[in-house]
Amino acid sequence: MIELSNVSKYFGGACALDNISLKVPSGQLCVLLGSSGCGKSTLLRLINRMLAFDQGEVRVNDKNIAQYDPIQLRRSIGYAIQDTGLFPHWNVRRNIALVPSLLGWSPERTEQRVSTLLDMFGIAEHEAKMPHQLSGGQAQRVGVARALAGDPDVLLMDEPFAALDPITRVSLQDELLSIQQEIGKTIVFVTHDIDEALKLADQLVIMANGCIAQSGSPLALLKHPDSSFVAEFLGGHERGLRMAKFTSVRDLCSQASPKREPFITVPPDMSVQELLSLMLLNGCASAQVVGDRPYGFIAIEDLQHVAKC
Amino acid sequence: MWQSASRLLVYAVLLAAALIWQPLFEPVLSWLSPDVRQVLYTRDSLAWLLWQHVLLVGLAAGAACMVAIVIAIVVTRKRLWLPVASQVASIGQTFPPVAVLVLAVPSVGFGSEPTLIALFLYGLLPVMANAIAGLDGVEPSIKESAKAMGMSSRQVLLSVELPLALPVILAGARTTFTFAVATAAIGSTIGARTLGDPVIAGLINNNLAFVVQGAVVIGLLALLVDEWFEWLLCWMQKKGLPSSP
Ligand SMILES: Nc1ncnc2c1ncn2[C@@H]1O[C@H](COP(=O)(O)OP(=O)(O)OP(=O)(O)O)[C@@H](O)[C@H]1O
Ligand SMILES: [Mg+2]
Repeated sequence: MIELSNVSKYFGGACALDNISLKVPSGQLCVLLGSSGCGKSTLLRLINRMLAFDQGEVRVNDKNIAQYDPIQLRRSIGYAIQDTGLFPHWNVRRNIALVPSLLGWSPERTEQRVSTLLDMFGIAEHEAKMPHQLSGGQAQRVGVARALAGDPDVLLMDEPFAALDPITRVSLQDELLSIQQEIGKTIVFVTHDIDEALKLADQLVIMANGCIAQSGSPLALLKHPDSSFVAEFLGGHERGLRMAKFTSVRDLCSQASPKREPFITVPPDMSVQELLSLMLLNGCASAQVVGDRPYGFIAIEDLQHVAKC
Repeated sequence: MWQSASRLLVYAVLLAAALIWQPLFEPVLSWLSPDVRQVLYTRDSLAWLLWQHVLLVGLAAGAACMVAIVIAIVVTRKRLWLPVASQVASIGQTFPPVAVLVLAVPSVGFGSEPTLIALFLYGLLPVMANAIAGLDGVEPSIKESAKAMGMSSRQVLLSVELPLALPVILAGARTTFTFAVATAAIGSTIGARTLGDPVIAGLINNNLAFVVQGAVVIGLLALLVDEWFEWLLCWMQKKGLPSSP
């Protein structure tokens, strides 16, 4: 668990974080979203004591971080950053083994852990390469694997998937989600990609100028933005389409057969967003929902209920 | 790497040949200075002079490297004196080595000591300049991430900063050692026993053969030392250590 209470941070006279309070329960993934310079990285770096703050209190696993030895604290918290910070003079395997060796694990246990991670991230074939021999995407995988190596409960990730092609990015997001579902880390994740944020977040925090503009579940924020800033940030008029991604067609379909032909056939777990896209592509206004059994029909009029789901 | 190793071998063989088969070169030397009675330098054996020379260079340049690296480590941490140290290092190198040698005499008298001190002081500078540049040139993001992973400052220094700065530091050490080989010879003018002895004796007695014997051995030693550093860099590159940034 990570808990910030009334934390403020100043750089010289400039206020970078203003009276922030935030609680990330164990096993939850909290995403920080906000425009450049609003203090996301700063907030992250307070948690592992890479930066000192001026007011307030930060607790990790129910203990004030001031009471930890900073070096021990950092070894127990995974940290992945956009430009990876891999050691250029160490090969991939040794880079990943860094934290386990700092923690004094036995060589066998370290070897085993590193091999598991190499397989998990699909980089086993690159284990002997030096960082400059990796592509950007491979290096970012190594960076994330290194952050996970010491098996930390708490993980801080600062735009770890930035500068990746969409396909690799999505596969790494899925990887992270499945790790998260399996072993339930407490994660604070910074990104600039709204779709990534909506996809990953249990708790979404929108920041502006060192303050928290709003926080809550992604769907709650999409449905009920407090301010026009948050609404605009989440996509303005396209907010509806993003919302439609959280509803599957099975929740909207009905038994009444459509008045209009033609219709397309879709699976029940398809998102309403995808359905809408297919309707636009195929020029049709209704669909039949078929899974292991027929679920019914869905017509374009039914989509008006998305906001109530 | 093999090219460098084979050059290294050639220089070593040539040097050994010059020392062991010195008498065989008598005809060539006589041809160089036909007017003198004795063309072979026999006052001391060349091997013994070489040993004295190497000892002087090794002690002075070795100590200079160690002290310079320590100074560089200190000033890159307590950054107050960093500008002073790098200015001294770069300005000091414009001083001619002979001047340092001559300045050392009044303080410690003639003999090996002033040479040792001069070589040491002069040898500090290239290593210091390069070590400061190398340590300071390590990318901040790498140092940051080392710290964030939970390395102590000592671990960051030993496992990250020094290895990454090593190629640059070695380039400085290379300058220090090769310059020391050359400069030590001038030590003969102020009473040190070095490979400069035959050269000085030859110049005084107008004996070109003596000069050549000293100069050839000094030259081969300098080549050998320089090539050894070359080989070391090749070897490090092959081991995957980063080359100079
Ligand atoms: N070491 C520092 N010294 C002075 N000011 C700093 C320092 N680090 C950050 N700042 C300032 O603090 C503010 C927040 O910076 P931070 O890096 O947290 O932004 P961010 O939200 O991560 O931005 P981005 O999305 O561009 O990464 C910025 O105005 C920045 O200029
Ligand atoms: Mg940032």
